[in-house]
Amino acid sequence: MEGQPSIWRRCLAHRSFVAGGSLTGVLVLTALVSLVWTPWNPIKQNLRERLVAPSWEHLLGTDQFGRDIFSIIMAGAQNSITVGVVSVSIGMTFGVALGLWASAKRGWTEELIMRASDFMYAFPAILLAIMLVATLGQGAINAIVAIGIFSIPVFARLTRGAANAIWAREFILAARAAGKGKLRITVEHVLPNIVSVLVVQITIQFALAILAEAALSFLGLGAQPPTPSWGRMLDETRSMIFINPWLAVYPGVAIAISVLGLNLLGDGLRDVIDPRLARKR
Amino acid sequence: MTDSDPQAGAGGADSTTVAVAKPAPVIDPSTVVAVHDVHKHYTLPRETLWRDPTLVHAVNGVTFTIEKGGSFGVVGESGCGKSTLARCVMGLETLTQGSVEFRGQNIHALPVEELRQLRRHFQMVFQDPFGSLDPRMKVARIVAEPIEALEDTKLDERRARVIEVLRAVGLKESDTDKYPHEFSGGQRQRIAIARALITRPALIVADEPVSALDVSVQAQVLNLLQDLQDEFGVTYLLISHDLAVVKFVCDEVAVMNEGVFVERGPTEEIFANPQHDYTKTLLAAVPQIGG
Repeated sequence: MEGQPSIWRRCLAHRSFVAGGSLTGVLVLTALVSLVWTPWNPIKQNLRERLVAPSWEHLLGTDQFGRDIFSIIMAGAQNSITVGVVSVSIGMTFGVALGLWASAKRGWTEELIMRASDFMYAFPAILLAIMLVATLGQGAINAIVAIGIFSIPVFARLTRGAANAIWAREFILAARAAGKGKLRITVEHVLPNIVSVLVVQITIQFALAILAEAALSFLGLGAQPPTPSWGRMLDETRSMIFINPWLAVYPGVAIAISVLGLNLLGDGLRDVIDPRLARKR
Repeated sequence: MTDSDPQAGAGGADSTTVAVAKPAPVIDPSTVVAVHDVHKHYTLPRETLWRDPTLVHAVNGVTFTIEKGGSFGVVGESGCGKSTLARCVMGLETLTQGSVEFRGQNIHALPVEELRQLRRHFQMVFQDPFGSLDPRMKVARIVAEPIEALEDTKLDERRARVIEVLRAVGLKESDTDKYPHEFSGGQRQRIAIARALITRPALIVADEPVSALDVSVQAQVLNLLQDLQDEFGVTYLLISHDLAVVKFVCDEVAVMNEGVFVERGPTEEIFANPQHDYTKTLLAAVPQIGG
């Protein structure tokens, strides 16, 4: 491994990483800027300026309530990012913990955890989220929790698989011979060695979470009005699709760009990180 | 071979695979480790539902003792169970039968926590110097692993001991902040030896410590092992497939085949006058340079 270019160099040389990173950067930046400034108030309606065509004043025009679309899109990024961060955190925390536990314990504990997560995995994610929201009641927080829960088995499986590979390595045996217990080995050796695999999965789950939130909001099960949300924008403009089709295109493009950006970033990260892992094995 | 017949394959050797029922020998205070009739069987996954799963008899009744300051070598071809034996002696595997007594304590009967504490007195060096060091840890942490896990040492004292032990194996103080991949195979094995040495153990189990290294580096590491024995009085259990390695380091040697010792005795005697057929084959198989 001597003489390899630094990880940053390799990242910058990777096209997917650069493209995905830039798109994701734009998404994050948009959300941050919208916290302090948007061209117009994204919530305020102005019935005298309904369905205005794009102009310098309203970059993307206005919707049927006279709200500035560009501002709603900007503010909607906040919602998507919040959903992504919170739900992925939930999924990752529980999923990784379960996966590590299964991997450290083996035997019946592992079987039980993995079969339970297979059971959850077998449901289509969106269906499961709809089911959960239907039981918990609709609303932004429940949608986030539901999305988080359906990413638990994804992380659990991935973690278990990666952790099992680490447990089979000789340095784990060396750690046991050095007098370390299972908990200590998990924290000090297993977790640091699977972080790179997890980072890739995090970006991919983040994209899926944004998509899932848009779907739930589209169905009216996610963010409630007047919180700006791309999914709900799609729903609200659905009735206008023959009058002003562009209204539905904007949020759709915003969702597509975010998801594309995160997926490219994930692919790039995998390419940059994984070959090194493969060589180490 | 069945497990009710541990002497099968023991042939005409001075028999070290004694009868199963015999009680564990009385421990002499100078005895560091006493291995008594150790069996280790593995169950392979079932191939069909209708037949019992296959049992692999990796170790099939092995008995030996090592005196303080001695070095005991186990040779045999790959797959003869010698690595399993090493892990059994280290308490890293559960035994199917038998006992391993370290300074008179049966390590496989000890509660988990007590065994963990006892581990500071017996450490291990592994075969693969690329696999036995965590690639994400710096040398200082790797070498300090046993004291970090087993002792309540202050940070600066820990660092002092790491440096001391690194020097003992011929590495530098500046090496503490490097990652394992920055070292060559021989240097990595020195790191692994430093880690095994840091708790000042009475016994070091070395499983093929040089077989992954270049021949020129092998000699250096073997010399190091001998120097450390002179300096710290460690006892070695050395596992190797390489007769030359065992001949160089060990004062007593056992030849292992199919899970049992077929022959055992002082090194010179075994090499000069092998009794068992398998030993003869093994010795004859060593390539002779220059005809």
